[in-house]
Amino acid sequence: MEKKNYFQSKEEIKEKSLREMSRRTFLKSTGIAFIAMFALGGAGVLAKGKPLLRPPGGQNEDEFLARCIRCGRCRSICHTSAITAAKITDGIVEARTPTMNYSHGYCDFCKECVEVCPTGALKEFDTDSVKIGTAVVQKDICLAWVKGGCTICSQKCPFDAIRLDENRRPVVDEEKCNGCGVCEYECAAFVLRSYVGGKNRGIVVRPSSSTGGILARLLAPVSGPGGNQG
Amino acid sequence: MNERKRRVRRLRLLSMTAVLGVLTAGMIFGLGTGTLSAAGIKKIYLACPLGYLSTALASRDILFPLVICFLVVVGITILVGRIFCGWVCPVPLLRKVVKNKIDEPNDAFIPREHLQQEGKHARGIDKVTDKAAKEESDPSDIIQNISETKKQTKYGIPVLIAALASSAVFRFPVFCLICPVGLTFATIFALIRLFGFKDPTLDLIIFPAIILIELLVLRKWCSKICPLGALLSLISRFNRRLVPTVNRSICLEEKRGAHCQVCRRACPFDIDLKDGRGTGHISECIKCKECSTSCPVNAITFPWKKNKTNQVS
Ligand code: SF4
Ligand code: SF4
Ligand code: SF4
Repeated sequence: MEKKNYFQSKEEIKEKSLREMSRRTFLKSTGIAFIAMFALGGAGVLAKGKPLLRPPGGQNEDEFLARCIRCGRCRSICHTSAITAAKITDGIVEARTPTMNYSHGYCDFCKECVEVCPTGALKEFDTDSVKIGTAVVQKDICLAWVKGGCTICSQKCPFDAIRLDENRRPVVDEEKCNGCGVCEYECAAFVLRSYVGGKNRGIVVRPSSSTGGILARLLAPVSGPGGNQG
Repeated sequence: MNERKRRVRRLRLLSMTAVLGVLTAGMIFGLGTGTLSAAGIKKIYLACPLGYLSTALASRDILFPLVICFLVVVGITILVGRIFCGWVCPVPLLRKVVKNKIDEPNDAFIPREHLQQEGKHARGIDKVTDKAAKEESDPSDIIQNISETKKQTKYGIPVLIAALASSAVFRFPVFCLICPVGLTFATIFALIRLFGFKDPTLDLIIFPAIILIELLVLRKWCSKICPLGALLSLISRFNRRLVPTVNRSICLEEKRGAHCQVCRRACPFDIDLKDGRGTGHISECIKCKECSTSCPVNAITFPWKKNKTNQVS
């Protein structure tokens, strides 16, 4: 059905010159798009927040951030609800990525989150050596440290990582602790103190020192797949 | 608006709501179904192709199981085009809620009278287009306006390239941070967090604000900016099924020499199905059926098998 044109009409010449113009606009818009996306990426890197507790298998933070598409499958599959989403206040890049919240549950290393993660942001891990973080006793809140008597966390710890000192106060063995969060989840200080408005627990899991600053992140050679502990 | 158009729009909204609803239920009941960034059951899922490319570039890895998933998405898109944009993506649903319009208006298309009055200015066309849309049974005196082409430059491809390049440089999927689809689900999660765990977060303000900017300030998000749409369009260049096709033996223009152009005017992407002179390309078609439900003589169909004649390349 195509008609053949032997002569260029005025309209066609006009159309052609407009196409040239639209090429310029295209270049301009490419510029704008690049500035916008690079500003966003740069802002994300510069405004990097505090290290977060990641689900098991996501401990190499740089590798993790490179892969996580914030789909929320890990968060949603976790049967103890130990995984939640980071908030925008945790950082621009961190927002919406999965992070552990031991007030709702703890990690029993069932690996379901690793199974559903589509991108390998959470990698297959060895249950014996994985370390989500390390428990730290909050001596100003812990009932045993404040007035004595409580031994719940040391009893509940599945990995015997909490021993009691000479005054029967909990002390964490950083070697044995893998950051499962049972102690934080079970901590009674939260329950007892919540009557007076306290929200904190006497023992909380903190991320182990995380990798990379801004420059390290940009300049570091790429760690190949498989490298788990950063 | 005719009944057919209303019905198709209702169906589209229903399909978007159903997808959103199922995934929200999955979120509430912890089924691990995920969000549209990656949705599925256990190890069977579909993931966002833009998310795949971004993370592959950011991690310098082909991401083994996910690459298969990406190829499946490519395959689906070749098969049925940008059906995701017209029937699944929650953005048109949000647009319906916020602006009471499911699709973006076609600004590139300008009726002749208006051009004469206003001296080829692009602003304020909405009103005229709306008016014209109301009088769709009287399709007279409408011309396509080539001079608008330059104002209708697409940013989709540049945004796509920029998104991938910045992901490669900064080593994380940059566009994901502002993706309206991801943010829709993030907002839903923030609501779950508010009502389920009594945990109000700043997310509840910031995420919807970003979506609103994309809907209201960058008005042409779907047709001109969205990099996911641009990526799907690139793939849809190979789409040969369900492509809107004008039956020229019925079309008013061919048959009676009328200057109808109702289909082009109805298309949110300004695709000209007949001679391809619109600012939109047929590969951008989101299968919304606005064209076919607008056609006064029902000349447009979406054939599963390609018809020998009648099609524009
Ligand atoms: S499943 Fe993987 S990609 Fe999805 S949010 Fe969790 S860590 Fe990120
Ligand atoms: S997090 Fe607490 S319960 Fe878990 S291993 Fe460490 S000390 Fe034990
Ligand atoms: S060509 Fe028809 S179905 Fe395709 S986007 Fe335009 S109006 Fe919708």
